[in-house]
Amino acid sequence: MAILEGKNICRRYRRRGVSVDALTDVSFALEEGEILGIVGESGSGKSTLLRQISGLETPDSGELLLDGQPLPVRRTRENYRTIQMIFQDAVGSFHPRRKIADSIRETVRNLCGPGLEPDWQTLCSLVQLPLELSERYPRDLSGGQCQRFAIARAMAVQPRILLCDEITSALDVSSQAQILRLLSRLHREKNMSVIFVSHDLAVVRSICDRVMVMYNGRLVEEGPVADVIRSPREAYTKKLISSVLEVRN
Amino acid sequence: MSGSEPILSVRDLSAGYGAGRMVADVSFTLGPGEILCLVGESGCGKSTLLKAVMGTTPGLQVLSGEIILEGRSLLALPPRERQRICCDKFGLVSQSPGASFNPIRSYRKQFTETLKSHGKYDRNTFDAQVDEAFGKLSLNDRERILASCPYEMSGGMNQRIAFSLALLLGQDILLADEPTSALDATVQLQVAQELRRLRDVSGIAQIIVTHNLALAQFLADRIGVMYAGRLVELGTPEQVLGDPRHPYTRALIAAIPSLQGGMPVGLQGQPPLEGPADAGCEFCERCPVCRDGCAERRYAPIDAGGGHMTACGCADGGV
Repeated sequence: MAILEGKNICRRYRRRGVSVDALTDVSFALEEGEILGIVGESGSGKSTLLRQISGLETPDSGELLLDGQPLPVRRTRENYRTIQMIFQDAVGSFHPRRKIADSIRETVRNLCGPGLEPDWQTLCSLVQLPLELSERYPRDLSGGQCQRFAIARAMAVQPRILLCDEITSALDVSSQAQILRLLSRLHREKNMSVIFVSHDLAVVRSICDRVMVMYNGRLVEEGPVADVIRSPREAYTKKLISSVLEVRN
Repeated sequence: MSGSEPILSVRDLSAGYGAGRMVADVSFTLGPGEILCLVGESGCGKSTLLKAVMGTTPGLQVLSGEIILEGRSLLALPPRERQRICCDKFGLVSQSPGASFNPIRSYRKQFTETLKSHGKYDRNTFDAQVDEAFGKLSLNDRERILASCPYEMSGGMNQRIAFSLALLLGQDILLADEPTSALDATVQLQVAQELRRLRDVSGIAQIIVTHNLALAQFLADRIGVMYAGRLVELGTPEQVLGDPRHPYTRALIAAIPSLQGGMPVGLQGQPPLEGPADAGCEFCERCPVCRDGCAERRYAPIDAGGGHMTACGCADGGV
């Protein structure tokens, strides 16, 4: 059974009398222990879909099911613990005037109970960073280090599902490779289910099992990532693949 | 490009904020119409080098070395004169498509102001000049674009319009800091094609800072690889990406994800936060081929043939 399902999710934004359909009838299923990629251009609805799943926003219509049970509109702490999200702007996702450790501690206490202390040694070794870096402010860390701590913060509450919203697109290739390997290891060791949003098809190819292609708020193609890239059916997917610049040795 | 006199020569340039060096002993030349891409990890000094050449960033000081632009040493000039020449000759395109313009002021007003501040505004010829610049970049519908504000345009469109401004100003060298990294893959390709076309139709030389090696291969006549504030490898894309000599370049290439699949191999550890070292090789701690003595000894740039320069003596066939 799928750990997470979405059925006919719709989301419309209204601003100054103008309506934009950001998501139209999007349905998907995330299997336990699977990494599901979502690709598409800016404005295709990838991040909007993650915001509905994470509980940051509520869909206008449609249903989200966790273990076959509908997710409530008002999420419980347990729901938030189960589904954790990691953002593109790692530095901006931490409080700028709090040390990294304090931000992580706050998340753990909010979601797991007051007075609880994260297991710092395990957490830091999980993301392969020295413990002392957690006593720094976000501005004093590189983007890659901050993103590792963002992953550590999500892992600190022992989620079952990780939502990754363009988590490597602000990083250079070296930091990107480190984050991809880390995520792959966590997924393997913890049997974590992951939804991985990216506009970079090569990144999605390297880490995901299945991929969904979104265009204009709609799901236009999905399948095993190797198959979709090898023989895309939709013109839009073909265009996405042909626009990938690759190094030719 | 080869054989012609360089339009820009940078010799042993060291620069930084205060006394700390962020860039050390960097030397390269740029020929007319040449595209040089600078690649490397975040914090390796690519953008600082670009700003040091431009010379308009408050607090960033050139500590030693020379910048020769069309035969004139820029650093020997009085600051105001240097700034005037730099603004006249260099166009700058930033990473954030919105940052090049005021987001809520029409392009017409911003184009007019910029041309006036460079003493190049002529009301009678303005529209024709814009038509010509837009035409070279396949930007149609001049009136609609000029009447729009940057916030109404997509990121890719904003970048293309920023390129057209460099054409309008008749600048000789475009300095672009990560011009495509904030854009989608499809738009990235479009912008990369525009940059190439910009060179082909107008002969503008370009220094492009990017961490995208595929983009560098697509665009560059030569690629410079930077690590911890130093230029560690320089050559044509065929030389640098096809026959990389520096272990850091090899590590960067191995870190690129591919559509063929497979997990990219990331370099362990972090580059030194304190920038270039006074002695020894900065890459030593992360280097898979590091030898005894590399931590103390600095290799002079080695010519691997055909203008292919590497700063590693442990590279294949090295000493």
